[in-house]
Amino acid sequence: MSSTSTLASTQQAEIEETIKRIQTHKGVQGFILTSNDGSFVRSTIDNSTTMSLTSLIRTLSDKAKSCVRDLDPQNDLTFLRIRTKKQEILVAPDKDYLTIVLQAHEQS
Amino acid sequence: MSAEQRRAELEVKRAKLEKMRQEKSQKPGATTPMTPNISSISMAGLSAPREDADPDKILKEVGIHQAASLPMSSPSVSPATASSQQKRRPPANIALQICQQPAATISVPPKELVTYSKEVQTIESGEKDPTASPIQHDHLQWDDEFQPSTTGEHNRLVYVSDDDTMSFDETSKASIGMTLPPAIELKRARSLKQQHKQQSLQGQASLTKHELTNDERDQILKSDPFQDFFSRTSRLIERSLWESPKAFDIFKDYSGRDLDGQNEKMDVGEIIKFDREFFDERWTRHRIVTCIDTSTYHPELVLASYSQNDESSHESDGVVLIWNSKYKSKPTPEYVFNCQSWVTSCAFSKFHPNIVLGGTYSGQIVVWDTRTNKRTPVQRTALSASSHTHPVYCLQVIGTQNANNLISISNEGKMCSWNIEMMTQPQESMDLAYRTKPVAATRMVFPGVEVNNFIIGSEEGQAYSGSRHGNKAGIQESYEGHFGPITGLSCHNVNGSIDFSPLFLTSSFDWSVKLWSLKESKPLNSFEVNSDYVTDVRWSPVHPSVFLTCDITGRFDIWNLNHDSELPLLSTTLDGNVALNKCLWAHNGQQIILGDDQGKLRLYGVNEFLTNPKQDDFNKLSNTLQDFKRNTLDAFDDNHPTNAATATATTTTS
Repeated sequence: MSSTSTLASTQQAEIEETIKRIQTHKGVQGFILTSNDGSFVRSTIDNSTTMSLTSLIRTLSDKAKSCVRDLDPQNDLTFLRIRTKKQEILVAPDKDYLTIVLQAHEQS
Repeated sequence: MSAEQRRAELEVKRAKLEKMRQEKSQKPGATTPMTPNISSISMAGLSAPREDADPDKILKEVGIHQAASLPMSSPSVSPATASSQQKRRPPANIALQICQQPAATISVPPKELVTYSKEVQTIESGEKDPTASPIQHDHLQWDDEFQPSTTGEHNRLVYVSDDDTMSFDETSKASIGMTLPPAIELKRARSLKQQHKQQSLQGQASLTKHELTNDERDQILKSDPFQDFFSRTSRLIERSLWESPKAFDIFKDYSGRDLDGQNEKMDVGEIIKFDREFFDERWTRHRIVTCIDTSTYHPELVLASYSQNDESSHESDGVVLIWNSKYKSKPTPEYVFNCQSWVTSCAFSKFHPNIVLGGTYSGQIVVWDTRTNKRTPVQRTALSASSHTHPVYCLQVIGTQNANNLISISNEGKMCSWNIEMMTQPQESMDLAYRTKPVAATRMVFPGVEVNNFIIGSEEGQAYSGSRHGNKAGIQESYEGHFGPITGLSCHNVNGSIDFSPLFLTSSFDWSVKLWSLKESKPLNSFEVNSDYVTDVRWSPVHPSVFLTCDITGRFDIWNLNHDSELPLLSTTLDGNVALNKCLWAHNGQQIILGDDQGKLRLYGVNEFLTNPKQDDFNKLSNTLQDFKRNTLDAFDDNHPTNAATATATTTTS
């Protein structure tokens, strides 16, 4: 059995690995992890874009969540895909955190 | 803002209004073209259709529309605007009426305004920071107490500021803004700017409010809730990233503009079709696939265990991955599990959707749980003399939902039965020996839903059958025929009009695959088309006469005994000098999975005619078996004419 610290560091390494994997996926332009109060941000794109994007997306996802909950109180928002002309924004909201991925359209 | 200010503002507006009316009466032709536009807006704002001219519209917006509309009980049509205006009271009269009830007549604000104001509130509640921003406070005030004109003005400003509502902006400008004193225009612009600034400032403040130190960041990264969140959402994101273009092509245009989609349907002549392969640079490269299983709960999940990686020593030896065959392009496994010793066998627990079992080279049996975030086992057995001390080569969960056991065999000749909830020590352990000679078991199968009788393949080349319970517990029968270790063992498991459950197949290092019946000690038939070690054999789970074999030259064969018992129906050899080690049918028989020595799993789709057996396939197989029996008897008589009698004698005694 490994000690907790090494366990935590391997888990952290796994996180890094996953982020890298997602980021290197074809078409992915940015990957953002953020907490819902905005205090924690982890991003692969430049600061100003991250700031505006996270605050806007968080508002939208809050709104979508409240919409879903208003429709059915037992329901909850789990995933949000926004398809736009230029790109696709994938949003995976959670209780305390939020993942945002920007993906360019695949030219098929 | 105080009431005085508002009143003053009202006054200014009224004065402006008068001025405008005068202007209008002077040149009615100039204003008439504008009327349709405005009337449409007033119709949107109010339910009652109104064909008013500009002044009424403005009055309404200021908050005194009732006063204006009351005297105008006969709605005039737009061409008659000029005449109707002349009929109206002089401007002084209007001023009087306004003075009488400025606060009592409240215009119902357009719906859009309310929505916007609510959204602003959502931001505030979301940010949990009701900083005393005057403008946003105003909104609240207006919303709660219905302060009429000035806050209404503010709200309209907000609305006007929106790009989408330019048309409204223009008309309102045309009607009021045109004649507004520049001071008010300025004020408007300023308040707009302020509001923007305030909002952006607020947004920034909430983002940079708590600047975290690196330690705190690490703390968050390591926290359990974050780990939980991350493992869930990263999986989600990856799946949608990889699968979105193909699986959810909601934008497909069937009008013919992009009709280049190729027909995916299989030809009848085509028996198998390559589907995809599972490979992971880090986890499966330089590793041999040691075992494959599919989940009964989620048939799309494929479980595979891999041997240790000789090329890199820093990775953990034991690797078990869960892949998802539903996804056509996602390159990463759904789950990764590790343990210290390399995994020689793996299985999904048939009755627990989250439990994955692994038998290791060290003899330990480990249990992983997909509900935890950990890659390490949640349970493991102790290494003791009471359980296995040699590699565990086969695992099988037997029993029913309520009473089930895990049976494991190791090649020192031991069979243990375990309770999955309690893996500290085996419930039962039995030494496998045939006539006091220990059996180095490599394969084990419990046919069908059997919990007592089992078949075992051994390193010596014999297959054995035995039972776990009863007064003759242990190995009872031996089936001799192979000259090398048995590598694959598969029981016939298709229910139909005729019971073929005694049939089983074995593959061996002696380049052959043999068909047996539990009732006969000699093989019914031997299939000898391979020219190297045959590593695995599997009956189809749906077709009675179809089975699959693979060997270390990279060749895999699909046999249909009803079609031909001498040659396979289909023989394929993989390129690239790969050796196949394991093969498996998916539960529905529509896919085959092949595991090789380079860490790759290959999936092939199987043609329908091999997955939908006809009724007479059972009868045909019965006839084929009769032929086999006749042939073996003939061959036996030909080869050993003198020994025939003694051979039958030994068969009966054993």
